[in-house]
Amino acid sequence: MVFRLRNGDEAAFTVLYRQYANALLGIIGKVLDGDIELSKEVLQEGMLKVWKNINSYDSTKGTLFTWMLNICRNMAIDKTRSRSFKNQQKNESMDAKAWLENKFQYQPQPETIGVVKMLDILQPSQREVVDTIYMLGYSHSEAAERLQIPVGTVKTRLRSAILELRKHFNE
Amino acid sequence: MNVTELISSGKLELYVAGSLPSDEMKEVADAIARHPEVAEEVNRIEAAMVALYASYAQPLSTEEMNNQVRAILRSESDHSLLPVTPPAKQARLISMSRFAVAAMVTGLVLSLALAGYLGMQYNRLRDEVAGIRGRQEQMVQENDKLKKESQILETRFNVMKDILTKRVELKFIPGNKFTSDNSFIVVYWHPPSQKLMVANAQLPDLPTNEQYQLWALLGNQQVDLGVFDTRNGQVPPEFMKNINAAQGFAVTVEPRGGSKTPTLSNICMMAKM
Repeated sequence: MVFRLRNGDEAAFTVLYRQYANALLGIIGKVLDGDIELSKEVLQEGMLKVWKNINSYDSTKGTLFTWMLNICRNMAIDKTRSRSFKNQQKNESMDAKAWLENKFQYQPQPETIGVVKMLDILQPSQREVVDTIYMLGYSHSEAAERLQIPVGTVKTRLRSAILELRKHFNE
Repeated sequence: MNVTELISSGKLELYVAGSLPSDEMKEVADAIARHPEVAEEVNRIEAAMVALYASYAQPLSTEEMNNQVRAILRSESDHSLLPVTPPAKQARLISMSRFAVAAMVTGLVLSLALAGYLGMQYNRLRDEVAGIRGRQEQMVQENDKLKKESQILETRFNVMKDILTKRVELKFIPGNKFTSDNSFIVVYWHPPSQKLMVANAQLPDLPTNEQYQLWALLGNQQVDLGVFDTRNGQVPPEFMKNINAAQGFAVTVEPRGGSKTPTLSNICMMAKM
């Protein structure tokens, strides 16, 4: 896939886009507080960046999905720094990271109608590990510090969470 | 760490997140390349994460996906993002944008033509202004020169018209090797103002390493009144000095720059009052 993308294969890019667009949109939407139109715009900008910068992807630093996730997440975080978005959020005094962390304080909230309640599959303690690692992009030691749990527990919870998800999605 | 331990360690989940230290990321990447079961496990983890995050948002419709892909691939060629819109609306936008592009191109061409014309005009006017400025500076310099000459003439005239001004005509010293009996030099000295000037002269021009030097004679003393060059035998009119007392005047030929005391063998012109 990467080889084909690097050769400018548009069909390969279309496959890649279809495979990951909704997942990336979910992460972007979470960062942008559910602003659907803005999230779609960021997704398009992010995937354009992926397409144009495919040669800078280094497979020894993670999967293609991880790389795309980082690009899209960072672009979404950049959007939260823009004045218009802050105005929209009436949240000018808070910096992007604090704002993002604030968003991931776990409180019971109703899921959007029509969206599959996948998160219900996970325990709150598993969800916060998953989101801290994947959404916020923290390393396991940073996640341990943020969640105030040992590093080993971070790994265990993450693995158990993924296994739980895999029961529903993969197997 | 064998494959089973690696799979159960929790590292692969962190690898998919890109959250491991770089050396461990590389280790896992190597394991993926070497062991198909590790690669398969990573794919399953990734698939689970993709499914999880896809569930966070309302999925894009096929139409929206197609529009985005088209817009991205087109951006690659024209380097601009296209809006994601339903096809019918997009078609209208495209036709509008074609009109807009045509209008922009026309506007651009007209702007470039206008800019070119204004640029030419600007260059022409800039050259004209530079020429006028040059002539103005030249006129200012000429004006300064005339003013200075006028002041000199006025001073000379004031000295010459005054009844108290003494007219002293210096004559050649027989036997000197510089001047002849055709040579003369007339100085006007106005004691009240101490001004002294050369009114007229006829002296041979000297080589460039030599100059005439004028002296005031007072008793046994010779007071230096400065050096001068001649041009076609004439002394420049701006040659003016101040001297409060004199009994006569003499001219010697000295090395360029003058001497502290007159070279007696080079005295060529003299007058006593």
